[in-house]
Amino acid sequence: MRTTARRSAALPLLVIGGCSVEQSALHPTGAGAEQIYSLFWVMTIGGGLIFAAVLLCTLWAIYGGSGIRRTLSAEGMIYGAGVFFPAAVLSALLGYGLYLMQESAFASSPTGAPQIAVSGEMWWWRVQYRDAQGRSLESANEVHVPVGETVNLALTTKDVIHSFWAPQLAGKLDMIPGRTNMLSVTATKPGISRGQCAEYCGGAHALMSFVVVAHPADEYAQWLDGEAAPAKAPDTEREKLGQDLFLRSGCGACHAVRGTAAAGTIGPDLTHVGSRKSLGAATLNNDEASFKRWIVDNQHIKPENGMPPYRIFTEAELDALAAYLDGLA
Amino acid sequence: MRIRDILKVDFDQLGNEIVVVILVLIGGITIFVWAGYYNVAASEKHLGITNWILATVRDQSIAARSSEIEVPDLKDRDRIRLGAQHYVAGCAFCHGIPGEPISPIAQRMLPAPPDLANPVNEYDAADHFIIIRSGLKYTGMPAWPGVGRDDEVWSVVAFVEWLQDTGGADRRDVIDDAGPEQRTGGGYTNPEAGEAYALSNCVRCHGDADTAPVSRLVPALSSQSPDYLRRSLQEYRNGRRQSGFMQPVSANLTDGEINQLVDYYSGLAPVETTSPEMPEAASIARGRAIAAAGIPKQEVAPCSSCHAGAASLQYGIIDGLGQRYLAGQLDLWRKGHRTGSDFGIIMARSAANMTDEQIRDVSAYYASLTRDLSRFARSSPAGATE
Amino acid sequence: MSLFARHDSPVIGALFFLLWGPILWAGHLTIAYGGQALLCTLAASSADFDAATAIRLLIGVTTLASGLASVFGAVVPRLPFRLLLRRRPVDADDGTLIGIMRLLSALASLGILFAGVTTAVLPVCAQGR
Repeated sequence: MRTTARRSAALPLLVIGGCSVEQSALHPTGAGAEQIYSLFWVMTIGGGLIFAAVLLCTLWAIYGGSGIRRTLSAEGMIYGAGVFFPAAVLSALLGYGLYLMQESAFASSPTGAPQIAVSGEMWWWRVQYRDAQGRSLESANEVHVPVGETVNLALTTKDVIHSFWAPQLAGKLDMIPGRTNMLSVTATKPGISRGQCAEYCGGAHALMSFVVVAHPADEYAQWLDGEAAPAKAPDTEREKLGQDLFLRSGCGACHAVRGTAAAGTIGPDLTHVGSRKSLGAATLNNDEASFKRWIVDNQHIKPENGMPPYRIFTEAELDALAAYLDGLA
Repeated sequence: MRIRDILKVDFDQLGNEIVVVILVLIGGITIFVWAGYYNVAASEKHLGITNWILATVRDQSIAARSSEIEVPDLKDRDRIRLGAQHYVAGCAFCHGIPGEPISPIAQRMLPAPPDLANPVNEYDAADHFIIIRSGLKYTGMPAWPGVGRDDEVWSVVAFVEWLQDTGGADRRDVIDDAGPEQRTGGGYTNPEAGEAYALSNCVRCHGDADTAPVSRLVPALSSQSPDYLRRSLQEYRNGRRQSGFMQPVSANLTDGEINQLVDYYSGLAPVETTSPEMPEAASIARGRAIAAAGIPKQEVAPCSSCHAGAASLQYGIIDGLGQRYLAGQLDLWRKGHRTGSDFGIIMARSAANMTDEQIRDVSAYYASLTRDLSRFARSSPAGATE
Repeated sequence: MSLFARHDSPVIGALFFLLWGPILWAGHLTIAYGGQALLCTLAASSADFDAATAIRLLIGVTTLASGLASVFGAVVPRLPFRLLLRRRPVDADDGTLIGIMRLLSALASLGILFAGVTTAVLPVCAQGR
C-alpha cells in the first residue's frame, strides 16, 4: 500500500514539471494562443461532461434496475442520444472551430506593423526585422514583438522542414523549403516566453528553441533603434584583445558584427549577442563560461552543427573572446 | 545397395575412428608448433609447394582487391617526380634504383623484395596501388604510413610504373634533374649528418633558395609563416597530420632542428617554378569571387577571412601556392581527412560542401597571386599553441 | 450463394445499397481534397490561375451533387433498393437493411456537408498548419 501511495504521489510531480509557464500553451499571452486556450477548455469540459454521461449510462446499463435499462435501450434514446445529439454537438464545434480559424490564422495585419522574417536553419533561427521606414536588420534566436500590435511573421527555411511554435503566443506553423508561410501574432501582455521547433529537423532538433520578448508598444521603437545600432565598441583591454582575436581568427567569415569588418552571413548575427536571453538557440545561459564552452566544444553541445570546434585558443585568449562577446550588448 | 555395403564401413565404429584422427591431427599440429622443428630462417628457401601456396594466395588476394580500383593518370610528370623522391629515400634500400645495386642486406630477405629497377611486369598499376597502400603480410613490405593518403600512394605507383616502362633509362629527367646533389642524397642511411642531413631531406622535394619544388604537387615553403611551418612539422611528427611522405622525415626531428628548418624556409624569397601553371582567367575570376564572398548557399565561408589581410598567420599563407597542391589539400578536407589537428578541423566544414569545379577555381585564384609579404608586418604576435 | 437463394438478389448489390451514403461521402472527399490539392498546386506554379473560384466551384458542385444524392437515399430508399437489388423490398430483413441504410446515408450527408462548408468559410489554399 505504501509503495502505491508513493508512486501516485510522484505522478502529479511529473505532470507539474512539464508545466513551466514560459512555454505553456495554458498560459496564453497572445491573441492566437488565447483563442486556442478557449477552444481547448470548451472541448475539454464538453468532452469531459459527455464522457461522464457515457460512463454513467454504462454503469446504469450494467448495474441499473430493469426500468432504467428499458429506458436506455429504447429506440428514441438510440437515435436521440446516439445520432442527433452528436450531430448537433459536432456541428456546433465545427462552427466554432471555423470561426476561430478564420480569425486567428489568416487575419492580415495593418501595413504599419513591423514585418519579421524568421528563417529556420539547422539548428537556429535567423530573424530579420523590417520596419515601416524600410530599415532591415538581422538578429538570431530571439523574436521581439510589440504588445497589442499584430505582427506578420514570414516563415521560411533554407534546408529542411522546421516548425515555428511559440505556445504562449500562437499555434504552430511549418516552415517549408521553397515556400513562405505567414503567421500573424499579436502579443497581449509584455513578457518573455519560450518557443520551440516543432517539426523534426535532424539530430539537434530538440536543441532548437527560441525566445520571444514582448515589449510594451511605446518601448518597442526604442528597442528597435537599439538593435539597429552598430555593435558596442570594446572598452576594457580584455575586450579589445577579444575583438582583435575575433577578427583575426576568421570568425567574421560566418558571423556578422555590424560596425566591424565582420560581415559573414552563414552563421547567427552576433552584433548584440551579449544582450540576448540565451545562447545557442536557447540551449545555454548567456554568460562568459557558456561562450567559452561553445567556442571550444560546440560539437558536443549541439552535434553536427555548422560551426567547427575552435580548440586553437589559449585560456587567456578564450577569456578575452568571451569578454568581448558578452560585452556586445 | 546401401553406402555402408559399398564402402564396407561400419558406421558404429566410424565415430570412434573420426575422433582418433582428430586427436592425432591436433597432437601433430601441437608437436609441430612447439617442437621448433620447422626452420623459419630467412637463409633457407621455402619448399616449392610452400612458395606456390604463398604466392598464389598473395596474388589472388591482391587481384581481388585491385579489381575495383580506378587508376588516375600515371603518366603525370608531377606524380612521377614526387614519387621518385620518396622512392629514392624510402624504397630504394630494398627495391633498388637504376644504376645502383640493391643493398646486400635487403637481398638476404625472404621473400626477397623484387628489384623494381629491372622491369618485372608481374603486377599492373592497380595491383601496385594495393601493395604499396596496404603492404604485404609475411613480408617486409610495410603499409603506407599516411592514413587516407591515396594521393601520395598514386605518386609512388606512378614512379614504379615509369620504372617498369622505361627501366630508368631517363633517370636524369625524373630523379636527378638540374638540381642540387641533395636530390639523390643518402636519405635515411646517414643519420649522423645533423643539420645538413635534416635540410637535405627537405630540399629534395621542397627545393631551396635557388630551386623550385620538385613537383607541382609539393608546396613551396619559401616565405611561409613560421608559426604555420613549425606547427605543421610538429603535427607530422606526432601523427596528428597524416602523410606517408612527411611523417617519416619528421619523426626524428628535434625541436631545435624544427626551428632551424623553419627559420631557413620562412626566410627564403619565393622562387619561380620552371613550369608555372596557367589556369584560365575565367577560373581565376570565379575563384576570386569565392575567396571574397564565400558560397553562402553551400555554407562555404569566404577564404579571405582567414587567409588574407590581418588574419592570423597560424592559418598559413596560401597566396602563390601551386594550384594542384591547393586543390589536393581541399580535396583531402572534403574527404574528411586532415581533421586530426585543431586548426585542420576548422577547414573541414567549409571544404566539405565545395564542388570539384569550385575547388579548382579557388585554387587557381590563389595560385595566381604573388605572396603578400607585408602580412608578416601586419599580423600581431599570434597566440602560440603547442 | 445458397444462403441468398430464397431472396433471389445479388450480395454485392445489397452491400452497395447499404453503403450508399458512405460511398458517396468517400467520392466527395476524393474529388474535393484531390481537386483542391491539384488546383492549389496549379495556382502556386502559375500566377494567373485563379484558384479560389475554381476550387469553390468544384467543391460546391461536388458537395451539392453528392449531398443531394445521399439525402435522397435517406429519404426515398426504395428507389436505390430497386436499382441495386433489382426487386422490391418484401420482408422484415429488408426493412432492417433499409433502416441501417437510411441512418448511414443521413450521417454521410452530415459528413459531406461538414467537409464542403469549410471551403466556403476558409481561404482555399492557405497553409493551416
